[in-house]
Amino acid sequence: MSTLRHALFLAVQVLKASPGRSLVLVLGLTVALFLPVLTWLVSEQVEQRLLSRSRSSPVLLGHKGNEFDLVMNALYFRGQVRDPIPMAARDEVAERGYGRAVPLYVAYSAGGAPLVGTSLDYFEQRGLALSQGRMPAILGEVVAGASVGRDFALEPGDKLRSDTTNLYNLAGSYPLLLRVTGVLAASGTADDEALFSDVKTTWVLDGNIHGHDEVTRDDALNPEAGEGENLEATAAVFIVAEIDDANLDSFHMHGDPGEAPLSSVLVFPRDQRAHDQLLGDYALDERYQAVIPEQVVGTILGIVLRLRRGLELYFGLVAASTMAFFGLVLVLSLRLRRAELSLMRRLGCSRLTVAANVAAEVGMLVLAAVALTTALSWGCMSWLQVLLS
Amino acid sequence: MTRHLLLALVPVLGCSGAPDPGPTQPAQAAGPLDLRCLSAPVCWLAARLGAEQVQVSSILPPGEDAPSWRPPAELIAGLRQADLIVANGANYEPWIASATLPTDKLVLTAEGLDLLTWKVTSHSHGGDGEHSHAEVDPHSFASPAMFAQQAAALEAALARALPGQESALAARGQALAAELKALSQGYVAATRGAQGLQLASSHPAFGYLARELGLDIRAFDLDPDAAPGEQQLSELTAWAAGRDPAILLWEAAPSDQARAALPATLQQVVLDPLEQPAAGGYDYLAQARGNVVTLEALTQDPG
Repeated sequence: MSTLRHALFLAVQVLKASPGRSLVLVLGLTVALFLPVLTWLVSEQVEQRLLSRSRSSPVLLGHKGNEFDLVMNALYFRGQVRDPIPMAARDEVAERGYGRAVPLYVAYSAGGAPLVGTSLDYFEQRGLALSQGRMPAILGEVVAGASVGRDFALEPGDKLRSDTTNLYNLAGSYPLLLRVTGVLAASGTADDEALFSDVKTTWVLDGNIHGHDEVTRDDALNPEAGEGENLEATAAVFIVAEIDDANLDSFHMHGDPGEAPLSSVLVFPRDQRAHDQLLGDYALDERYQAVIPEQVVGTILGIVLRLRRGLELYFGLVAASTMAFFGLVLVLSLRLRRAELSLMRRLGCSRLTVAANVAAEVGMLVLAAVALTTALSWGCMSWLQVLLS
Repeated sequence: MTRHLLLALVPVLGCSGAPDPGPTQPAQAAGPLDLRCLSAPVCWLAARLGAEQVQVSSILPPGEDAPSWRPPAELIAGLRQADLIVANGANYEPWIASATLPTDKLVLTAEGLDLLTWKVTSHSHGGDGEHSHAEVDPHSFASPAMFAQQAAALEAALARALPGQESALAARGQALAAELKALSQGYVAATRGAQGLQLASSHPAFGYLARELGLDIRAFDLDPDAAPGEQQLSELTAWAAGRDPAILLWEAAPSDQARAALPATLQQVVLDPLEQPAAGGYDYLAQARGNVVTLEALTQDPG
């Protein structure tokens, strides 16, 4: 026991005597350990987060095509779905009794945050609660995700203008002033980064639902049109840019509501049988595809994991070379200290005692590197948590 | 490189290992079903069919007219707490079109029925071309046959919301269907003598009843509280000319001013449109049976 205590004492003295060399060795070892450990931790975190979101989204119905775009749009509100599906597709899923069918229309934004058109079922299924205010109740109302609410300092009653989608299309849909009715509590998901409205509000942004002055003969291009004939409005017809109590009743829809567009339909089957039936029924459908987001995310993760393996190999090589460098430094250091070690022998130290002294030095260096790696990893993961939430 | 990978994934990840909510179904609360109804006819239906298993609350304030009333946004937001929201549909509560309601709790009892349309107007603007606005006749409940179909739709919705109560609901549904059938037969018997007669109404509230009974009812837009305008009066006078008897069905008792302004040859009768409660509360069957008696008296003694 006293040998170990003496060895540790001498090791500390030796390391203190060459602080520069000790520091370089500790830092070199730390880098060699930290990079592979951090890569592993981060990729684990990535995997868990991606899988968690996809597991809470059992089936996604969308137009046949790129399933990655569909999943990224529906789960993370990123990118656009090229081909929308009609609202009737959502109604069909609901009528067939597969389970709860939640419409999603993610095509617009306000203040840079994605605007998700959906139904109240979405909040219930995702377990999203309000931190203040109330849920949207009429056209033009939105509720903000926690991060959006914090970043824009939003409170119930505030207003946000939807982003212009096409600056050069003067005949296209106009930005709409959206009224914030509430802010959601933080969920730690992509929902924190978005604004939510009734899907009908996003159809207003499309122009499918709109309000305007009544088209009369006085402002029609064809005032001579007979009773019951179409009146073609001039550009002077005022299109409503903010929905309020006074003009709410003037809003009307072009065409059949069943034809209104959706990006996708999030389906929460009532049981495993309904889940399987849903997938089976849509497997041969020529228009739509029913995908399991977990499988799609699994494919994405496959790419991430292959990348992780590559990184692990790379950092493994870095670690090996650093360890070799560490060994070389150690050997060279021992050579330089040959006279010192010989003196220890001449003073009566056994070979074992000398070896114990050297081992204590190496052990302390490794221990310091491990401690530093742990601290750095913890700090990085904490920062990552803050960054992601 | 790791950092770059991380930063690249941040937008995608903006999430944490939140618990998996998984597939869920609306929870069945203990006690009676919290049912909110949006207009008088369906409130009556819900109370008849649901009986003690349902706590029926009407959101329509007394004296308000469902087609012209709009609830405040806070009241609409509060409807998501209900177990079931029952509406007539067919645009009888037009505010629904611009409201955010929980779709799986909302029962539009007239949805899918053979609805009448009043008039179709069309206009065009922007690049989307012409579009039309067809106004649906919302008074589906005026016809006992249509109302029986609405009752069946509500019974099915209640059966889904009240598992285990199917037989009790079916028994009440059958009893109500029988009463509505008897009412329909009463209407038919009462108007047997009116076949071939052309009637007028102050408001297009009897379209479905006319279709069921094979009657010809021309609707004018007359306010029972005010004298008709010049154009309305000339149209009505032109319609009444040459008809004997010329019968006008008011949806509410006309004021003396309104009654006096109309041609003396016009026989004026009040027929309940079944939209509002009579004295003593809303009772669809009792109020409709009153209409049967009115029509019976009218056709037996048209003069």
